[in-house]
Amino acid sequence: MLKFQRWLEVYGAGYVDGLAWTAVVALVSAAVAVGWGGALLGVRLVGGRPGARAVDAYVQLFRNVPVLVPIYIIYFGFPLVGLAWPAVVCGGLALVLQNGAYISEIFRGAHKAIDRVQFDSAKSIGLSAWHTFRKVTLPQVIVYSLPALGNQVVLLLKDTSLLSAIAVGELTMRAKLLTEQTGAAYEAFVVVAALYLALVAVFEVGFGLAGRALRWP
Amino acid sequence: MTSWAMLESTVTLLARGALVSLWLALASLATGTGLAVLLMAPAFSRFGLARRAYRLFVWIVRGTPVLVQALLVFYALPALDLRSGPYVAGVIVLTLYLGALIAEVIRGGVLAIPRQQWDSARSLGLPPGALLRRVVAPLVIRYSLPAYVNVCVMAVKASSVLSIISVWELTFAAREIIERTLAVFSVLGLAAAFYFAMCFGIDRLGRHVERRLTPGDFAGERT
Amino acid sequence: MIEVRGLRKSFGDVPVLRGIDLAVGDGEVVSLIGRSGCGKTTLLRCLNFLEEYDAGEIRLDGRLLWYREGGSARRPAREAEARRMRQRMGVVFQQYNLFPHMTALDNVALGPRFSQGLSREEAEGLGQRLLQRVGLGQKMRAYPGQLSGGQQQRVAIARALAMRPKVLLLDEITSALDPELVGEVEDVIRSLLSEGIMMVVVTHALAFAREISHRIAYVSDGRIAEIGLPGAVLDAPSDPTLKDFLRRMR
Repeated sequence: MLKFQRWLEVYGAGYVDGLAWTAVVALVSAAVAVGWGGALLGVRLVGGRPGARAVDAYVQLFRNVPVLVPIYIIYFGFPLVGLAWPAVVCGGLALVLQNGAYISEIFRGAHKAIDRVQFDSAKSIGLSAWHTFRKVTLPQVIVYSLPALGNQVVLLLKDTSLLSAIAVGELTMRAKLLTEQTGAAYEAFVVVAALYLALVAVFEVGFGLAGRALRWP
Repeated sequence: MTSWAMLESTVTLLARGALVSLWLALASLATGTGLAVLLMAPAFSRFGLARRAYRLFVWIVRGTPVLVQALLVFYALPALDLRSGPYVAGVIVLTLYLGALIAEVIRGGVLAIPRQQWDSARSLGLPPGALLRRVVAPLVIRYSLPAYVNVCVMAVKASSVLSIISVWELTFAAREIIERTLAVFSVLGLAAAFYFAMCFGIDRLGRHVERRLTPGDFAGERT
Repeated sequence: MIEVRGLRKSFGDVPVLRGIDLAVGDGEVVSLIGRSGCGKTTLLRCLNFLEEYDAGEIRLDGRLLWYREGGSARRPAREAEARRMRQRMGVVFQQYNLFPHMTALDNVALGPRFSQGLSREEAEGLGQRLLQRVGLGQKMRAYPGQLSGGQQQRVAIARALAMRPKVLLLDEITSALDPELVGEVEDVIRSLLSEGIMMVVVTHALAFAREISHRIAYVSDGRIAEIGLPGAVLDAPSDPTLKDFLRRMR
């Protein structure tokens, strides 16, 4: 008990720090990625054939390339063109670009799930395009995409571990540092694995609750 | 002259890296599939304990980042006195990771088989070995193929994570070259192209196989 | 009154409406009958400009609808203009009319509130009255998923009426219902006859069409092949395809 207490005092702060970084990076990137995914869907909807093709190409690109590659491209490449952004922003941007692709597909599927007759009905009661979007489309797209969106955010959360490769102080980075500092072979990673499992559980429960709160009878 | 030679050597190096990535992915897919098949025993076991153990394994592997699993294995092997270098660690990690994913794919495939087909199969009165081989396995394959192809693509992408534990493959090679030459966009762009070719190729191959195996109907959508 | 002249529409190479001429007077109920694919639903959708059409005019009380007056080129009216024109017509579709994420009351109040600028209280008051009118006063706060098919269609009628339209367009509104639910919807339509609303009703239910219509139009192959009083059209048809159709419907 005493040993655990001591351990907590010495290393606890490091883990909490890493946990905070991971959670914040995940949440912020997820929020921005949702916005970006929504924008991509918008391009698909109003951009006609060329718009849809462009979005398809974008999605295919990020689906078939591991996320580590855009992370490196942005982190190593942007300073060369004058954009010396902090590592976490570079990594976050890569995560946003990657996950935005998947999220736009999720939104697309949710949008398809809305029966086309509803759009005819909206027109027939004289609803403007904006009001149709706000009162008919948006609420349904949100609720229909929640389950898949929850999955995607969990994937994003796990991908934040890759940011340790560009020295962002999140959970995996902390584990690496601690392993080097203490010489303890792998204990740090076991703890970190448990922390990820806890975070994932929290996110899943969160999305489940949101789903239940927003659904209609 | 020199820049052409550099380009050529870069492309060759990256191509070799791509082959290593592909080999890692395919080898791990093979072992992972083997592991997944073995896991079907606890997955569908009569004993609640076995089923729970299976679910725990899948939950842990899917709930933690691949990188953390890789680092854990990478650092744990020498600690357990099993010195065998990054490649073995890499294959072990991918095997476990893909094994869990494929196990869920197969389990999903089994659960997707409509009830009536089970009933018809059983009414044929075949011995269990033949039933499994001639009826169940083809059905499971048909219902899990699209998801399996997805996992194959994920295998190639996961191999890039191994670069962080010093496995020499495409991403590692690209990083090496960048640290020497600073040609970030072209080298990583080329690496991306190689990955795209491999993943897209696997996807297309998968669709082709799907079409061959399921003439008439088409089980499932590709994600 | 509604006047349709020379309406033509093709989907790609396939002509669906080959020149429709129809006039519907104020307070008149006209039913459109015919085989599947004859164009009756397309005609209804063109009336409300849910489909663009290639040639012809539709006028409501003399005003040209959906396209701009004059000029040689055919230009659709502006969006805001089209929206205003649509509000003069109410439409009820075969199914999936209602927005599933809103209560019956919210469904009915939506149009008045956002398209006609009524306040929330006014719109909800109107919605309440209309729902009571269709016999669903108790189900104001129910969601469509909690209502039967017949109840959903009745809410859809209330929602169309909430816009105070000059004409109701009904597209096979009982075709997708279980037989025992058809009656409650037909009752609501019957109750509207006394209000003098123009109605254009696409339907398979010939007995009901006979009962409520002033005239019945038989649509065949993109044209109105025969039109007249219900008794004439249904009991003494002249058009041979109509005779065939009626025989099959018995």
